[in-house]
Amino acid sequence: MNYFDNQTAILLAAVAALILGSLYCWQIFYLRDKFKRREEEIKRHLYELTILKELGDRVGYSLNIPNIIDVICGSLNQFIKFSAVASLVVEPDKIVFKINLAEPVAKEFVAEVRERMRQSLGALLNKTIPQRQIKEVISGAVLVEEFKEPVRSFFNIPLVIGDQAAGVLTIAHTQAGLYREEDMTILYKIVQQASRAVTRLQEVVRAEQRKLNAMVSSITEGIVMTDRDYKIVVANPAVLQALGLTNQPELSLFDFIDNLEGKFDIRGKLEQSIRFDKIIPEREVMIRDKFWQIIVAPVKSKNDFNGQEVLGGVVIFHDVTEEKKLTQMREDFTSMMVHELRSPLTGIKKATEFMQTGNINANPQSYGEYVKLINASASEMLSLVNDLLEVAKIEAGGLAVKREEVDVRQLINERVKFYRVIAQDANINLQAVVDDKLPAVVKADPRRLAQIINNFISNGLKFTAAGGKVTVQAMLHQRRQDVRAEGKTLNWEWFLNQGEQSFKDFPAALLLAVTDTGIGVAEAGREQLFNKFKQISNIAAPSEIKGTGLGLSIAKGIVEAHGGVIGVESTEGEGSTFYCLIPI
Amino acid sequence: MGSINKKILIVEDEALMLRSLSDKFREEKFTVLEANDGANGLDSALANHPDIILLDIIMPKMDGLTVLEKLRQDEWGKEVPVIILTNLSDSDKVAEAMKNRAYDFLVKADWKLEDIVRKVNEKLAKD
Repeated sequence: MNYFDNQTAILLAAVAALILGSLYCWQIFYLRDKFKRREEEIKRHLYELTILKELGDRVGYSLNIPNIIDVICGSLNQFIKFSAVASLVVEPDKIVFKINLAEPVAKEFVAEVRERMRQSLGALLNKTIPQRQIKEVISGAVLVEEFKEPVRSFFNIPLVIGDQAAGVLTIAHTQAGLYREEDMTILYKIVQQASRAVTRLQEVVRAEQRKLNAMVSSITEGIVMTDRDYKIVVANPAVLQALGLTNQPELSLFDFIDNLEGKFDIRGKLEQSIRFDKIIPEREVMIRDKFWQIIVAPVKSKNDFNGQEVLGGVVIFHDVTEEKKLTQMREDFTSMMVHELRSPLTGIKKATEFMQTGNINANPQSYGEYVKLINASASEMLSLVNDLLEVAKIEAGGLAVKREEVDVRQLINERVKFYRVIAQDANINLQAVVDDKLPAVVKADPRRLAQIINNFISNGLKFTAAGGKVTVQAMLHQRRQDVRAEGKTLNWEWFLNQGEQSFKDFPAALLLAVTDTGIGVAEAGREQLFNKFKQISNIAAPSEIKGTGLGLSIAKGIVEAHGGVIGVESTEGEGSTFYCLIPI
Repeated sequence: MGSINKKILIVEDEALMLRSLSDKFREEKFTVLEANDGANGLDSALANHPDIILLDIIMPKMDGLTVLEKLRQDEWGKEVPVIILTNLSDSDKVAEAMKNRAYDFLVKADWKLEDIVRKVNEKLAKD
């Protein structure tokens, strides 16, 4: 124990105590520092949250970016010191530089901030921003020439909406070394948060817009909407098609005015509609060979605070060409019928007038001729009235078909015999050929069948010149056989060979055809031949051939009531084959 | 009577109308030429040079308006008096005919045969 005397022991204890003591102290200081920093962090975090909440409340569901930025700039003075807060925001037609001064600065200070921001936004957008595009707004403290303090502290926060740079936010101070990393982080976070909110909101709006656009696009009516300044907001494909604007990349109302060729005052009507808040309908405007019904209406939005707000106007183009054509056809039809009936009636009136007053009774031959003519006129009108009734019946779906056993050969012979006199008068060779395989009798309505043959033959005779030929043809068509080949086997001369129809899938049927060597029917008019309103104005046809065109539409009705098909094949200038297939 | 040996051409596709008019004018001692369509009417007019023409509008082969137009292009035909025969519904066509200096027009259903004769005589007396 000699080595350890009391002194040594005390010294050792003192040293140990000192070490422990300083360790303790260090510990305390360390912890205090840590707490302090922690406290600051919490404070800042709280601050951040407060700011974000406030911003959230004030920004709300706004999509107005300049407005949001104003709100952010207005809140910043609560937690950060600056000489100026500025924003440079891209708007559709301009770039706005706004600077709010917290203390007086020199003009040069503002110019420097602005220039730095211009460079920064240019870098973000990857393009040079011309000075003259920038609109400047200065607010807050005054500009004082004497303060020559330059920008000493400065930082930029980019504002990105979606993937698009929308602007730059800047804090600047005349004192140096003012802004710490943390300050920038907070501001960055705030801006980011606002950007995210706007982006999300925009996405929702875009999705709605896409739905709306898809709907407007798929509407067959042409739709164009403008805002209050007559800028085109919406123009759907139908309207672009209608006005021949499909290849126009940027549309203005002038494009519409140009292409409307003065037929419709779109600008004036929109103005009227918006100003007087009324819907303006325009009936039947002819633009680019088509008839349009045009409706101009104001577009309003319901606003909870101040009632309705007019956003602009919409013009709707409704294509009425087909309806117009139909109306025209109906009118033509009516006037044709009126003519067809009035003409012989007037003739009868004049004839009877003459017979009453003239000396006709003294001339029995002349008298007889008058009676004959009157009788012919009356018969003509009667058959026309009958045809009209027949068409009406067919249209009402009430054409009665009484199927019974018909000897088609005999029927054809009778019809040919009936028309032979007329054919001989016109110097036309009228013949009939019937396939041997055709059964002796088929089931059909004999009276109706005769009507079809009558119609085909009389048409053939009408449209064939002297020296020509009209041939009635009948065969049994078999399922899975090509009708063109069947005709070939029989050595028939007809125009079905030229056609595309094979009728391979058509069931076994009686095929009736009448082939002539007449003027033929142009391809374009073939479908319409069987339409009651239309008698083809065939240029090749000598116009003495008149007729109401009801015959073929009646024939079509009869064939369809039998479950069959009717058609025509033709070569213009050579002749035609009118045919029908009636399932048996 | 002033109408003796006057030559009238009647162009009308309705057989009874044509017959009645022709017979009436024959009774009135006209020399009557008949045509039952526009093309025949034009041919007959240019070949026979009638003193006056009664012309229907709606006709096969060539309508009355075309006949009138072609007549007016002819040296003789540009002066021949033409009276248009019409139905009520042809008013726009009548207007067109008047442009081609048709003398007058008569609505067929409204005018008695005598009235038509009187109208023709009036015109011929003027010339």
